[in-house]
This record gives sequence, C-alpha cells and structure tokens, in this order.
Amino acid sequence: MMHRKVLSPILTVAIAFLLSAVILGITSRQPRETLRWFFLGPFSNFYFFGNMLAASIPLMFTGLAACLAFSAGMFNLGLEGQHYFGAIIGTIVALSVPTSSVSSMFLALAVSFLVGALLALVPMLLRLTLGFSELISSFMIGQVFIYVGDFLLNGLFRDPEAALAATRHLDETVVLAKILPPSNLHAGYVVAIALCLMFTVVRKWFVMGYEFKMVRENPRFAKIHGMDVERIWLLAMILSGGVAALGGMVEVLGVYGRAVKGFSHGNGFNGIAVSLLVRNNPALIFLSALFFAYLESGAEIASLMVQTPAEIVRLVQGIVFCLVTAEFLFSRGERDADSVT
Amino acid sequence: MRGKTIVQLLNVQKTFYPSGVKALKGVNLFLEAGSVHALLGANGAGKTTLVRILAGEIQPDAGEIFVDGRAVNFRTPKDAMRHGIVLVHQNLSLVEELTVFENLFLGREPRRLFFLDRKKAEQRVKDLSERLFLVALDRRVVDLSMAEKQKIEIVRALLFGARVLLLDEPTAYLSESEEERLFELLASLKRNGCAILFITHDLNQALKIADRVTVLREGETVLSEETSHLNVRQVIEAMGFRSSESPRVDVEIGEELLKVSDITLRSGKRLVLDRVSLSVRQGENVGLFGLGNDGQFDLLEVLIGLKKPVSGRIFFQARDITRLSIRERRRLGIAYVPKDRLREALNLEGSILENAMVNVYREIPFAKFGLLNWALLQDYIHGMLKEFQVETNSIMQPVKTLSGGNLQRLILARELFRGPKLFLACRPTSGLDAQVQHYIAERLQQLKSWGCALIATNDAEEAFGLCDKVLIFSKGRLKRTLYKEQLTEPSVLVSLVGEQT
Amino acid sequence: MLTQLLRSSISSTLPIVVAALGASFTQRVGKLNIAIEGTMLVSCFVSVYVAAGSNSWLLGVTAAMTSSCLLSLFVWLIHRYLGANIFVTGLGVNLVASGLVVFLSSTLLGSKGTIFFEEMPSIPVLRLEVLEHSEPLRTLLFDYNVLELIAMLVVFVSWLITKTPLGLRMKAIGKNETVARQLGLNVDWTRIWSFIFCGLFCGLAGSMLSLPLGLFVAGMTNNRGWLALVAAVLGGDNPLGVLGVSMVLGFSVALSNRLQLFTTLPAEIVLSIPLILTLGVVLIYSILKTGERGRSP
Repeated sequence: MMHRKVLSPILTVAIAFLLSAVILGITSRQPRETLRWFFLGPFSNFYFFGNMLAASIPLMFTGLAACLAFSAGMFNLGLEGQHYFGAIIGTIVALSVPTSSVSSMFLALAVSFLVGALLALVPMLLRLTLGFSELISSFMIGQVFIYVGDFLLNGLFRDPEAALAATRHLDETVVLAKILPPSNLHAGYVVAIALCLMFTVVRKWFVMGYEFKMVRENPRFAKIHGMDVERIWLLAMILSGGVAALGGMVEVLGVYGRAVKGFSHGNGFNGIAVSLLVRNNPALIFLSALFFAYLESGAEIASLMVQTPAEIVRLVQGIVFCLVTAEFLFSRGERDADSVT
Repeated sequence: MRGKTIVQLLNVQKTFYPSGVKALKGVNLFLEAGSVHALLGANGAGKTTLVRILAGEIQPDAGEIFVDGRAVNFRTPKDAMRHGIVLVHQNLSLVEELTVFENLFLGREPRRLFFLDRKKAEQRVKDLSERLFLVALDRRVVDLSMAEKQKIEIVRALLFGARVLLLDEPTAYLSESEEERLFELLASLKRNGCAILFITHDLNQALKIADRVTVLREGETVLSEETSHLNVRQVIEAMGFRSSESPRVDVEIGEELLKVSDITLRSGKRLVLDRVSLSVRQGENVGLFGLGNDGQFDLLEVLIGLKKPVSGRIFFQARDITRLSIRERRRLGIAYVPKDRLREALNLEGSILENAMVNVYREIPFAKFGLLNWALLQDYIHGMLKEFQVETNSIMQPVKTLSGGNLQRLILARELFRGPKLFLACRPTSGLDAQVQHYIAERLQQLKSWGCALIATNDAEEAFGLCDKVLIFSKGRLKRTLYKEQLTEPSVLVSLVGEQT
Repeated sequence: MLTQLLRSSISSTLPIVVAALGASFTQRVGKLNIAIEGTMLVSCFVSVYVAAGSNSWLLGVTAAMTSSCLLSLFVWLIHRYLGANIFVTGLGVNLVASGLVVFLSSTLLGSKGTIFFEEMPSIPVLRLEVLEHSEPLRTLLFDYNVLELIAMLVVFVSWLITKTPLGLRMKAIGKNETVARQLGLNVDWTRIWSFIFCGLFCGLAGSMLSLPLGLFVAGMTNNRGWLALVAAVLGGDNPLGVLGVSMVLGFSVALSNRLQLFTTLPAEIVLSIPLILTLGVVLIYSILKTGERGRSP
C-alpha cells in the first residue's frame, strides 16, 4: 500500500523529466547546452534559485485551493479565473481607496478573497440547485472572468503610461517584502507555507477536517449521520476560490506591484496537478509546487540562454497532468473477488 | 406435460472468500421440462447463490452440473444462455432509459447491413406474443410497472432461446393481481415445455403453483418433493425456523415515544408507503415485517429524515419532528442503522475510530471551538468498543480490516452506546453468526428499560427473535399487528402474510 | 443583414456541432472526454500544416482526424489501463495540446504568432446557379465549402449511428453498465469505438476552423471545444438535441463575431459573449428541466 502511494508520484515525475529531456534533446540544436540549462539552470545562481522559489508561491496557493476542493470531493476547474480576476479586483480596490499602506494591503487581500470565493460559489450553487456539473460551469465562469479581467486591464483601469496592459503601480509601501534580492522571492512564500500548514492542522485536528474527510469518502454515510453535506461542499468551494484569488493577489503584491495582463499564465490550472501530485496532502504541496516551478524556471532559463521554445514546459506539465492520477502499480484481482453482500 | 430432466445438480458446493461463509454445502436438485419448481428456504440458506451458479454468474467450488445428461461447466452467463438457462434477477436487468424493444434485443440485435432490422425483430416478438400479451414495444421501461418489466425480462429470456427459467423472488415487488398474472404466464410457459425454477419466501404461494418444492437449509437440500405429497406444516418444519431463545425481559410499558400518522411516500409513480400510522411506547420493541421490500425499510428512512414523505406527520415525545433535519432528530435521541451496512452505515475508506465517532464528534467535550480532542475521543471510543466487545488491534486501523460480526457490533455500539430513546434498525442481525445475534438480542432487551426500538426486516426469524410486537407490511400497507401472545413461532409471520385480513 | 447573420451562424454552428457530437459519443458511454478543446486545437494545426505541405486539403483533413483520434484514444487508454481520473487526464491533454501546437509551430515553422499559409490548396465550394433572383435565399443556401457539407453529412451520420446496434449498445452501457455486462456486451470495445468517433469528429471540427482560413494561431479554437462540451452535456443522448443546443451556441459565436466587426466593443468582452450566452443556455435549460421534475413527482 505504502509503496504505491510513494512510487506513483515519483514515477510520474521521472517520466516527466525523461520526456522533457528527450524532447529538448531532439529539437535543440545544442542539446547538451540546452539540457544543462534546463536541469541545472535554476541552481546556477541565487537569482535563478530565488526566482524558482518565487515561482512556486502562486502554485502553492492554487495547489492549496485545489486541495481544499478535493478534500471535500469537489472539483474546482475555475481556479485560473479566480486566481486572476480576484487579484485584479483586489488591486483596483487597493488603488482606488485611499488608506494607509498596511490596511490597503489587507483590504486588497480581503477583497480578492471575497471575489474568488464568489466565483467558486456560483458553480457550486448551480450544481446543488440545478444539478449541472460544477466541472464545466466552474471552468466557463472562470474563463468569462479572465476575459473580464483582461477588459478591465486594457480599458478602464489601464495605466496610460504603461507599455503593456496593466494597472498603475501600487504604492511602494503596500507591496510585500523581498527575501532574496535581487530575485523575486518575497514574503508571500512564508504566507503560503503557513496557509498550507494551517490546513494540514485543520484537516487533522478540527471538526471541519473530519467532516470534509467523511463527506469526500462517503457522502451518503455523512448525510445519514447528520452532516450537512451541501453546506460542507459550499464551504469547500468558497475556501478554494478564496485561496486561489489570494494567491493571485500575493503574486501582484510580491512580484509585479500591479496587476499585469496575463500574469497568471496557467498557475490556476497547474494548481490542480500540484495538489494531485502529492495526493492532496497540504503538508507536501510546497514540494510539488517547487517541482512545477523548477520545470518552469528551467524552461525559461533554457529559452533565455539557448533560445529553445519555452512552451515545452506546457507540454511537460500536461504530461504530468495526464499521469498524475494514474496508478502505476495496480492490482487487477480485487474486482474479481466474490462477495456475499 | 412433465418431460425429461433438463438440468441436474449434484452435490454443488460454494464458499465465499474472504468472508469464508459456506453458502452451499452440497446441494442436489433437478429440473424437468414442463414443470414449475419452487426453491424455498430461510434467509441465508443459499437460494440466490444456487441460482447464480446455475446461471453461470459464479462458479461452484465442487459438484457437478448436468444439462441434458452431459456435464457442463459454466464460466460466464453466456455459457449458461447457450444451454438455454437464463436467470431473471430480483433487481431486474433492464436498462430503464431504453424502450421495451431496445431492451428485448440489446446484445443480440437482428441486423440488416449496419442497422437494426426492426421488421425481423418484431416478427420474432410476435411469434412469442401470441402466448404473452405484450405491452407496446416503444414505451420506455422506466414508465412501466414492475410486473410489466418482469414480463419483458421473461420474454427476453425466451427470445434468447431459454428453456430453463430461473426467477429470483419474482413476486417481491408485485401487487396481488400482478402476481396472479405472473402465475398465469408461468403456467403457459410450462405448457410449452419450459422448466421453471423460482425462489420465494411465501410458502403458501409455492405450494399453490409449483409442481415440486425443494427446501434449502444452511446450504443443504433438506427436502425435495412433489407438491402433491406436501403440506404447509412439513415445509415449515423443513425450513427449520429457529425460535431463538433470546431472553425476553418484561418491562413496564411507559409513555408514548413515537407516533406516526398517515405517512405516504412515493418514489416516482410508485406508492412506497400508503397512509401508514403507528405508535410506539417506551419498553416496546416493534418489528416491521414484510416478505420482501414492502415499505418497512423506507418507513425507517422517513423516520430518520432521509426521505421526505408526501403527507403525514411524525411525533417524537409529543413533538412534531416531521420537518427537522437528520442531525436534529439524532440529537433528540433517535438512532438509526441503515440497511446497507457497507455503503451507508460505514465509511469503508475511514479508520475504525473515524467510523465510531461519527455520532459524538461535534459535542462538548469532544470538540471545543471546532477543535477535536482526539485523546478524549480515543478513550471514549475504546470504552465503547470494549463495552460492546468489538475486537480490534488498534482503533486507528482501517475499518475494512474488521470482520463482518465486528463491523455490526461497531455499528450497534455507535448507535446504542448513548442510550437512544428510539432505535431504528434495518436487518440488525442479518448475516451474523448465532453468537452475535444473541448478543444483539440482549442489547435490544436492555434498551427497553429506557427506550424503544423499531426493527425493519424481511426475515421472520429476526422479527420473531427480537420483537415483542410485529407489524406486518405488504406492498406499502400496514396489514395487521401481531401481539406477543400471537407470536408463537417465526413461521406464523410467513404463513400469515398471504392471508386476507 | 439578418440573413447574413443566419448564414454565419450556420457556419459557426457546424464545427461546434461536429465536436459536440463527438463528445456526446463519449458522454453516451458514461465517460465524458473533456479534452475536446485540445484535440480540436491539435487538429487545427495538423490540418493546415499537412494540407499546405501536401497541397491536398483531403490529406490535411485525414491527418487531422488521425491525430485527434490518437489523442482521444490516449485519454481512454490512460484512464482505462492506468486507472487515471478521466477528467484530470482530459485537462492534461488540453494542456499538452496548447503547448504542443506552439512548440510545433515554432520548431517547424519558426513562429509562435499567427501563421499564414500562402500556398494552401483551395477547398471546393458548392455554388449552385439556381434561385439567382432571390438574394436572401442565395446567401443562406450557397457557398458552403466541402468541409461544411461533410459536417452536415456527419450530423446525419451520427444520427444514423444512434439507430444502429452499436449506438444502442453505447447508450445501454452509459445508462447501466452492470446490466450491459450481464447481457454479455463488450463494454470495453464499445467504449473504444465511442472514443474513436470522438477523435474523428473532433479532427474534422478542428480542420473546419483552420483550413478554410489557411492560417493558424495558438488560440484559434477560442473555447469552442468547451462550448461543444456544454452542447454535448445538455443535448444528452439525442443527436438532434445536441444539434439544437449547438445552433444556439453557434448563433452566439456568430453574433460575437458580428459585434467585433461592426461595433467598437472591446475584444475581451466580445470573446466572452459566447461563454456568457452559453451559461445562460445552461441556466435556462437546467431551470426548465428541474421545473419539469418538480411538476410530475
């Protein structure tokens, strides 16, 4: 049993690495250089290393968000939209409300959380009242709000002086402290780890964690024994959406200092794989987020140094996705066993 | 006309793993063309196992099956079908969303090029339906009555070329008039040379329509005889209902705890419960008995709050609880053991502890400010499991590791430990060995000194062994009440159901 | 104006309905394939690339259908034989596809942006010279290219398939797998067939997006795969239902294209219109359905 739990993710990661190496090796004109930058680049200096850690921050948030939904047996496909749109609204509110630096930071975080929660709440309500799959509706609602976010950044709230579609910069005092300058690593890392640990504790020690587990494993059992299954599902989705949006806001506060069009570039989606890779264990999310960030930084550095297409990382991430729930060491016999009841 | 023997079983044995239950210990049976054969036996006697083996769904461990005098070995249902043996399940094997026509030919569609050859198919049905008046072919199965569905299954079996029909409790969901029609159908099939084997609980019925009766008891053939040589007494004796000598405690009957008035429940178009009213007082253990699924289990689901009745009221200790949630009802002191132990009563993915704590986890002192006190919970659960003699190595282990008897003790421990005022249980002793059954009976007797129990079952022995008073259900209606004086032996229940009141 | 809008709705409906019918095959056997978007995107690329290279649109379409068939079977095999969650695998394929096309276009063609293929084989277009006097009728009825005609045929064919034993078996397996097994149906093979159909259809749908334009952009499916999924889910087992929902969605896509051309609405809003309208359709449909259930308990 234990072997299977540990071996499957390791095998997934190994296959992902192997495939990326093969693809890079075949397509690159200088395969050796490319592979070196891809695999070792993130460790070659503090700048790259810090950036890799920084890149894992939003993934930790979205990974935790996915994990929250999975913990109650729900599927939140709208993470990308919640992550992106929540952060944009948070930024806009922080820019337009004149308050002190600290309180405007908290305001931004609170607003983004609420927005993300709302975006996740709607598909869940659709499912509970009308029975439409939360899978498709959460994706579509998320997608709509990515467009709406783009629209806001391109139109009403665009900084006229900026070359790209982005809001004005937030005040210097509002942004999160850097940890390893000149890299992007910022205090959000600590926040992300803290949230993951918090959820680990909640899962293990709190009534809520127990109820989530029972509802996930057997909703019928939970209902018969008096749990309000629908309320728990709603709660899980609200938290999931909220945390995803929080991640976007932290990214804005920590790295960009303003909301930039397209800043989320797939972090929301990858959150799902980040969580699944460690079998939805919040205490280990930092590891799988780091793995994804490593792939991403490796590809980025390789494309910077030897001009390989950075999209290779999408490919590899996609492959991880495909394999992440697969059971490599499965036993076929279980199904055939006769049973009396 | 009675014909030659088509199927013969010799000393068939079957043991299930991993539970190790010996379902069949050596069964002999033969089926003749043009005869109706009834298979009787108490719950767990191995009837269903036997027909499943005959239909090729499971394989016997030992013994031989002969068809037309030649030994056969069925590996799949298809093998059995090839020899003309078809099983009609109790839960019918029809795809509800498809039409009658589609269901009849699914899997062996007559074709013309790539398409369904509707004409040819209809011709085939017509050949049969001269004997069997059929419903419209284009209606969807979901809209049909249970009896019509059953007929479709039988017609399909005949289309497949069946000459041996196995029917697993065919009358379980039928109304009385529908039963009559089914028997007419069986009679006409018999005239055409089919061999029919049907399982039933109702021995009056068996004696009425079968040519031959075989009785199984604990996996063995104990009686196999022409009906003409038999009477009800002999069959009941052969079935061997044990009047388990559970200690009956007489307690003072107290206040009225539960009052149910005019509960009506529908499932789709089917009337599951038809204006059921009853009242239970403290000190009473009341059985809800029906031969099959006659609404007794649904009534318990209504009482705990899982199903919403169309009309009617439920009063608990004179308080109207019809609109309360499951949690609120449980908090008032109502406990419930669902029918499906593995899927509803337990979370098989969870640990023993997680399963055992589900009724108490959110109460002080186990939870404070949303924080679980695991140490306290563990102590409490340890005490509870010890009191109810659940044998475990560690309560942190997956609940799956427990044996069937221990699982049932765990479920009962969870529901009974805190002394519920009203205990609702579906089949609390089914599939358990005598020792555990006795133990549960004892617990239920203790319960009477402060509360009451409602036990829904389709097992006469169980109802007899556990209850002081039995309400007999038939097709969703409360037919009659048997008081303690009338409960002389389990067979009373079985023999009474068919009689008109 | 109105007839033109109708005409372009028909054109936007066709790829959606073809993809939706493909998805509905997998939905019918109870294993909805959500990799439609990615599968279509890959076919977009393959069809133009092969067509430009071989100077034959037919080869392009064939190659697109083959590649999307492989992707579709990949989803099924990973799910069936490695026990992976089919939704997560589907998402993975969408992701792989979005990376793959950019990767391929940059390595094979040296560009990540919009790629125009100059030497494209022309696709035959149906031009009938009757009814010339009626302008609206002509706009409505003529100038369908051969892919669109094939697509119409495909709608008809998939309706026919539901009438075959195979179609019946698919439906039976999706509704009640246990019973289907009891009756001795080969569940695995039937499902493989449904995934093959899904792949073939998505391949055609993808080619319809890129071949007539003779160009490729990484975002050119533009969520139409997801719209197709909604059509498949709402349309249910009935291909005509799928067609109906697709027509509404196709209309909304056409409308958003019109708005983009003739108004100054920002592009982002225009892009989200089909999605918003789709959600509206979902809402109305679900409300109607639950309403029905409420009336007849």
